[in-house]
Amino acid sequence: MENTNREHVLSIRDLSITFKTGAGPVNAIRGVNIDLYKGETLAVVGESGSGKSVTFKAAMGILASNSIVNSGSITYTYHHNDGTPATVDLLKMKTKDIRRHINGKRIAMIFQDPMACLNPRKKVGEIIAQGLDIHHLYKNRAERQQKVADILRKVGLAPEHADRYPHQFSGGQRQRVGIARALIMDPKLIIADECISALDVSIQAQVVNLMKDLQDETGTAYLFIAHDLSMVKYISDRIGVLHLGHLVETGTTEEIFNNPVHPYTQSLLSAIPQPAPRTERGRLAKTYDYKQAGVDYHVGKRQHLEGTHYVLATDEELAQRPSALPGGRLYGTLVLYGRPKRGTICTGGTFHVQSSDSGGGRLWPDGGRGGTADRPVRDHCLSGRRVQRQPGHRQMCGLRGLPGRVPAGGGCLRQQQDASLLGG
Amino acid sequence: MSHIESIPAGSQARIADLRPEDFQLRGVSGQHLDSNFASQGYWHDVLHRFLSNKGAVVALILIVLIVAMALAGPGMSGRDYSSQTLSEKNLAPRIPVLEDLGIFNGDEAMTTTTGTRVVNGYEDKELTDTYYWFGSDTLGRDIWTRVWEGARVSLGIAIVSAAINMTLGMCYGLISGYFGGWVDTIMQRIVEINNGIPRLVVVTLLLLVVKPGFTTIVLALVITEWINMSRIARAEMLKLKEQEFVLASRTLGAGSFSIIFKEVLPNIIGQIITQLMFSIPTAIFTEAFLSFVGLGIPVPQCSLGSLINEAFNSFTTHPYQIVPPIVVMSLLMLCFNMLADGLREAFDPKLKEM
Ligand SMILES: Nc1ncnc2c1ncn2[C@@H]1O[C@H](COP(=O)(O)OP(=O)(O)OP(=O)(O)O)[C@@H](O)[C@H]1O
Ligand SMILES: [Mg+2]
Repeated sequence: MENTNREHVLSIRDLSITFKTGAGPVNAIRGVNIDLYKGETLAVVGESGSGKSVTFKAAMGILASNSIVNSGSITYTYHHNDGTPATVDLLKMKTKDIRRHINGKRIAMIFQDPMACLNPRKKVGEIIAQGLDIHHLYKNRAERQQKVADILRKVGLAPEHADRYPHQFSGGQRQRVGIARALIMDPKLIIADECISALDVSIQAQVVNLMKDLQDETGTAYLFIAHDLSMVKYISDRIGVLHLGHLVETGTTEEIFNNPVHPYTQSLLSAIPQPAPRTERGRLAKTYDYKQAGVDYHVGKRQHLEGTHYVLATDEELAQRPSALPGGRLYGTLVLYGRPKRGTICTGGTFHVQSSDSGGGRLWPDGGRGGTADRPVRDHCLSGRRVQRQPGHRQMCGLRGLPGRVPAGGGCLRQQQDASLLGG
Repeated sequence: MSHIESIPAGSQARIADLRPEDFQLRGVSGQHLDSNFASQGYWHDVLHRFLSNKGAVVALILIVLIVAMALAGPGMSGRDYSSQTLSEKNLAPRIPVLEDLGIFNGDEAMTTTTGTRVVNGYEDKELTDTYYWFGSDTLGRDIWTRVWEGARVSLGIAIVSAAINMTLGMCYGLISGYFGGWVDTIMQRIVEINNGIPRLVVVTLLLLVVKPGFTTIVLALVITEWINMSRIARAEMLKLKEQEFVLASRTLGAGSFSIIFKEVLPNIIGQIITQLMFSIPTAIFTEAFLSFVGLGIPVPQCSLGSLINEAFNSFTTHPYQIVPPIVVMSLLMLCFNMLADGLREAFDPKLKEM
């Protein structure tokens, strides 16, 4: 699958960070492992407060002063000018050395809020050239002006814009300025901390496309921090899912989207709205509550699934998940009519639904072809939420995006029509 | 592919022949560059807002006039501020052209036990060609020269001390706010201790120990006044240092010094200048107050405060002696306050639509 021999850019191992606060210590990051390879885009997703920013602030040496790094390493690999490779641990480096040799020059950052991240009293040209000034990367004024003009053109602005102030730009243009400021340094790694979250959708697309184009051109690796999974799917090669300071699942974008294993990942994926009204109507956003889910992140291990796909789970938890079958996956919406008891998926193998009194149900493979008969394809996949009540006690339940297995040769079920399960 | 299927069979071949390079954006040549914002800077806006504030502009003009007079005035009458002409003491103001109109002709009303009568010192002493524009004081010194000399000294003290306050307070506050943690704790305790001792006590003790003079008064004014400036600078720093643009500079490798003075300072320079302008009248007043209680500039030098103090003694007999220094001082204080107010409004980002 993935070529694990590829050249590392950033490698975070077993990182744990605690904050000292008035109300006791806050464990923001607990044992996170992240790898980033040359020229690829890794997206880190997770809800607010899951520790995304903290992880990468640690790499940039800009953590708040009340933080303690309990354990772990963040190794960064780069090449000297003569081509000899060097590996440093960013956590062990002196702040001064990080500032001189790493920040800006080799790792640059793009920020979330395009207004707040540009100094309102400085002209855009000065803002963009700041990194050059700090690291003395030009011989004379003319060269500096030239570099600024080039980068402005590259991000789709005009060199004349250099004389304007940030407030004279639109949000998308400002974010371009933020990107230009990072790119002018020609870094090997760009950390983009929710750099599109504050923008409206059309501008998001603009900025993301720009970033992708520039990546093709420069081969920069991106670390893309986000909570919008639909954009993540589009931009990233690999995804890491953070929750409560734990990295619960990593893998390539396909691995995560096609076969999300961790319940938190599943809940994140089930929250993506779908552009198709039929399936969207039946979409059931899965809720996930750490306390009620009975999952203990602390006892879980990093379990290998396939390729680069890892999940945080105990052996038992992993064994409980639906067995994987090659061939196809249920990824779409299943709409059940009536109170489901037994049913058949029209395409592919048969399943039956055993409903519980609460209205929820289990989707069982009907022996033989759909996995093993003694294990539900998906537990509680029909949470019994009534989407629509119809005359004659017909009930419509939705099931979507869950990694239930379709028997070999069944293909992916993506549409309601393909997956109507008739209640008995 | 459905859209292709829906196209009549005849046209399919043509569609299949199309390639991406056959498509071009129409009517787009180069980049559209709007010019409505071109280089309209922050200072431009500030100036514009300031000029639209009439009061502040008048205040600024008056200040410029007074400063010009403080520089040129002492040389205009041809008399020295310290030379005494005892034969010409206590003469009322007399101004060439105006004396023909019956005002400023050297007349003054004297109240005696027998009633009020008008005397004219110039006629009594037959000084037909002598003109004291503002009159002369009890030692026969020219009040005109002394008032402008005093204004010069007062302004000098105020501006020098305000500038030192600004530099000191600003750096102190910025550093304390930026580094935070124990640095901030220690620096703020020092401020509190300094602030806890009443200013008058500090100044009195200082002036008892050190010989009074220009430097001493400046020092006395600096000792307590810088705290206000440092408070403002610290508060602004605390507000700004969490901003993403400060973080962005750090991720680009900027050092603390450059972040404090190149990133944050330009954003608070407005507040700093406003505070500087407010601190000048305070300094003028404090200096006058010190002079008035006898801790001011030593004779024969004078400041507005010491002039008022001297004239105060003969206030009941020769009231014209106290008027010029009081008017100049009041004007200065009023104008500086109005100017500072105007600047604050001009700098205030809340008035600015972004
Ligand atoms: N300086 C700090 N002091 C104490 N706790 C902190 C500090 N900074 C972050 N935290 C805590 O660390 C956790 C992770 O914060 P982080 O900023 O990484 O969240 P995030 O995943 O980036 O969220 P968002 O999507 O909202 O940006 C949070 O629970 C937060 O409360
Ligand atoms: Mg964040």
